[in-house]
Amino acid sequence: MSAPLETSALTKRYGKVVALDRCDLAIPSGRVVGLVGPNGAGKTTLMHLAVGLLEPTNGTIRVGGASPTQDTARVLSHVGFLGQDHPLYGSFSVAEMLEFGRRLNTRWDQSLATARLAKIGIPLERKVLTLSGGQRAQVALTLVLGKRPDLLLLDEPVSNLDPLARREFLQELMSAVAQDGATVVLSSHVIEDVERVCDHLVILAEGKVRLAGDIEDLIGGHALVVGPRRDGATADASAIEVTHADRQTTALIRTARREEPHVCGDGSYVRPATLEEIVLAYLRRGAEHVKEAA
Amino acid sequence: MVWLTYRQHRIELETMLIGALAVALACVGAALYVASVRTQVGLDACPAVFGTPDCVARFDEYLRLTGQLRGMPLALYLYPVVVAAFLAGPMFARDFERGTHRLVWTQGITRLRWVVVKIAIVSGIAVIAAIIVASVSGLTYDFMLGSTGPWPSFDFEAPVVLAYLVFAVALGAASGVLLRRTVRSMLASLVFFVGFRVLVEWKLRPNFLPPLTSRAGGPDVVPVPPDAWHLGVRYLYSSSGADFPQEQFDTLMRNFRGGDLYSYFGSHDVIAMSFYHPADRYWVMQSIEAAIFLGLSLVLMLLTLWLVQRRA
Repeated sequence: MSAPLETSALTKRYGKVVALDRCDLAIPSGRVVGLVGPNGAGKTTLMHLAVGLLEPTNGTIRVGGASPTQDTARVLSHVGFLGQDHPLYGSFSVAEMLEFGRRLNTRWDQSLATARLAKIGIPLERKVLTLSGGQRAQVALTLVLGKRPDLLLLDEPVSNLDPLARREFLQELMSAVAQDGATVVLSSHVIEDVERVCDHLVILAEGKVRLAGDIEDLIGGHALVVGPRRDGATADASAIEVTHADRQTTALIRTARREEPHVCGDGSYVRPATLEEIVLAYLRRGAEHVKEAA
Repeated sequence: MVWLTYRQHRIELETMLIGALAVALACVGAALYVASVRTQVGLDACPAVFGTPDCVARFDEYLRLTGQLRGMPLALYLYPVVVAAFLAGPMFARDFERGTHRLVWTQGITRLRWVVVKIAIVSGIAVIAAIIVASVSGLTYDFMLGSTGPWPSFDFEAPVVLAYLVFAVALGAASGVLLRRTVRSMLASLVFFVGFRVLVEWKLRPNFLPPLTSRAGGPDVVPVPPDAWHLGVRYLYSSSGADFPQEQFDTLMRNFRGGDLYSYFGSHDVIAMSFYHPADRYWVMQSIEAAIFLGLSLVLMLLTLWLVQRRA
């Protein structure tokens, strides 16, 4: 079976601006993948390329083995895409939005959609315009889930929601995909949200993949070392990032196995890094490091 | 997709049809009113050229009673403009403005189907509206005016009314896809619709076919048929047939010292000619104007398809 989403040397330019720069990526099947990166890293561009809203400048992108631009209808029948701001038709009722999903998709599951909305407590006769932001996001998610997609692409699905709606949305998402076994790619710049729901992480920065891996492995494979201030080179090739404060030096290093918190002989303190520390270290590391490593 | 198009534009489409019915009913109502006033003041008993003071008085009374109806053609002129601005202008622009184009483009149908069905449904209903309006507008307008020929109601006849409305839809679709903002697209549709209508009516229409000519004035005058579209009188060199320049004509008129004007013209190699289109060209010229607007609509629709298909 082909990978749910795979890119090879994928490049997208808008005039002179490079949104994706020879990006290689493979999303593993059946996982919940967090796609993180600063604004402008190319997260939205990648998702738009995956559903054929955009065409690559160079390179290839395959969704379930098919090209989203040449085989749009086939790709779209298996992929659910939830765009930023959850666009819906404001004058439609919730029931009419479901009717929209039913009429425009071949694999539509009406009973799943109505059951979901009944469970959340959104009345079908309500007009979309009168719904709260959180409810609107839930209706948009229902439209995506009703397609019974093999791959869900969610572009910053919770960025405009208040903390409560955010939590509810992610909970609903998790319970839905747990039953289905679909692959999910969720972009966000809130690492806390990613940590809560994802089991795989892709860090995108300046149009390239900085880091990709299972979250468990990433946390097990990185440690934070805090010791007395030591200027100059750390001489340690495994250091991802070294920062110096007044009296101490902190380094995020790659480790072969999980480091339980302990104090070393030289007095420095070692503990497992948090996901946020790992992500920030990789994001702050300049692009030149990536080139060196390669 | 048919359902979606109808549901999304339900209010605009229904308003367009109700508006068409209202305009048609207003035409019929106005014509009936004019007929009753004619009988009431006894105008039909008068000769075509008013001889008696009594008939002049009756005509004044007729004008007084029917004066308010002069606004009716305004509704006929405005109807396609309103369709262009308020129905067609937003039909694609609103999708782009609110981001719903991404919603519909990521369902299980192709963009081509989306854009084709949308244009087809909206222009199809525009054609129905055109038929409703044009079924009565030309006839009633001629009747109210007491026209002697077909030309006064040219703008309200079925072929051109249909073409105007299809053009309005095509223009709104193209500007919506190009500008992607509702208000801008509405404005652009309005301005370009009016601009193009005026351009064709004033500049192109008189020259769809070369006008016929006849001697205007003097002993050899050949009267223009009463049912013709009289474009006007121009002064030519009688020897070459070329236009007699306006400046020279002004000088000629300043030097005129009385006597018979046309023999004076004749002695200076000048001849006055009437230019006109005879009534039997009416439907040919209707077809030409309709073909211009429909042809342009086709170009705009293909442009819209191309723009939507092209991925940014």
